[in-house]
Amino acid sequence: METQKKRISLDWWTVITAAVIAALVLGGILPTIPW
Amino acid sequence: MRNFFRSLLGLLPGIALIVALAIGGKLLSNWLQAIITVAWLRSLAASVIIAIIGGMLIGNLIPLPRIFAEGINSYEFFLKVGIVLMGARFLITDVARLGGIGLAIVVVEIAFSIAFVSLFSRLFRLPEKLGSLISVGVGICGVSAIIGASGSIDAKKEETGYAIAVILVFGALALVAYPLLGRLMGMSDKAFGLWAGLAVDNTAEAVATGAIYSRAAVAYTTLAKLCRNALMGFVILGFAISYSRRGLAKDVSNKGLFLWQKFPKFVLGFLALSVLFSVLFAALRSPGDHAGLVAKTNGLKNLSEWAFQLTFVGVGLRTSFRDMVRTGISPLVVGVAAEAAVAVFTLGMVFVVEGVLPSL
Repeated sequence: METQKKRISLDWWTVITAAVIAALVLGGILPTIPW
Repeated sequence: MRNFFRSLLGLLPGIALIVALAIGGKLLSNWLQAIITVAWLRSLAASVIIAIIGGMLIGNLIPLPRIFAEGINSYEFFLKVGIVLMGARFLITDVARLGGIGLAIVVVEIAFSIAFVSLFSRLFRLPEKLGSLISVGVGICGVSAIIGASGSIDAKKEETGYAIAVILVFGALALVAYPLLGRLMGMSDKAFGLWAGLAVDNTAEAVATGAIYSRAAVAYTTLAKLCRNALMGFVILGFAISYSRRGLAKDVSNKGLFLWQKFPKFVLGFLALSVLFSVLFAALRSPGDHAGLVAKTNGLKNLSEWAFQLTFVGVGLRTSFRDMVRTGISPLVVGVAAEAAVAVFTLGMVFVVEGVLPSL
């Protein structure tokens, strides 16, 4: 059950992190990193 | 709060190692791509291959101190961030069209996988719950589905460990076998991408398999794999109800809550970003604004590529040749049979629907 809780919280952390990154890139704050 | 920062600190050494290897692998790949003139040899120097093989060599040949373990295991975080950021690249209309076809194929694929593995598990007299866990892993999405299902059907720890080992062994083999078979059959990026997304079990290995084939294929692989991930809750709920009715697992009291708990939330993040960027592109009026948004979308695409590069290093570091040998014969025989059957079955479906698939 503990593992399941970790999985759910990891999923939400990934969504929050990606949302912050997208907001920073859209706002022009985060520079484009070349690939 | 103190615990939060303590666990964050525990992750840092492993993450630093993954980041260093990812950057080193990318630089090495760029250098090799520039100096190698033979086309097929140059394709072997792709950043994804260098990341995975480099990770495998380091993880298996160098005894890494335990301090790195926690951070290395966190690569799933980067995989999911990369997938959510990928959402910016897709118009939601394309996601809906491909996702609609994808979901229909995935339902058939899951039903076939579960029926086939259950039959083979009985033939080889595997414990019923181990057979169920392997079928969930083969049919849906590998490790997270097995972990989700094991709690719901009260499987033993060793059964869960065994099922995960089987899925990881075949994930590692898929990285080599699928791209080779795809090239031998001359498959298009679209067809191969869909095939890898339908047939390779674990999300990280599926995305890596698509990336090894081509950068175009990985988009189809990711969408097909997300369709499988999205159905995870329904399949686990089915198993949980089946076992609880026979008194072999606890009852599921609230089915709606159960489905929500098992639903992979990063799929929602992917869809949200796809909707956001589709609306932003539709709202633009001047060509200048359009060029600006394209540049920002490309910026997010690059970050997504870097997140995947970190994932591929983690996949390599986590792949243990010793664990592969230890897995044992019976579950591996069931695994071989199931993987081969699913590969052939999904390949047939891909060839049937290839003509009606939208291009991304």
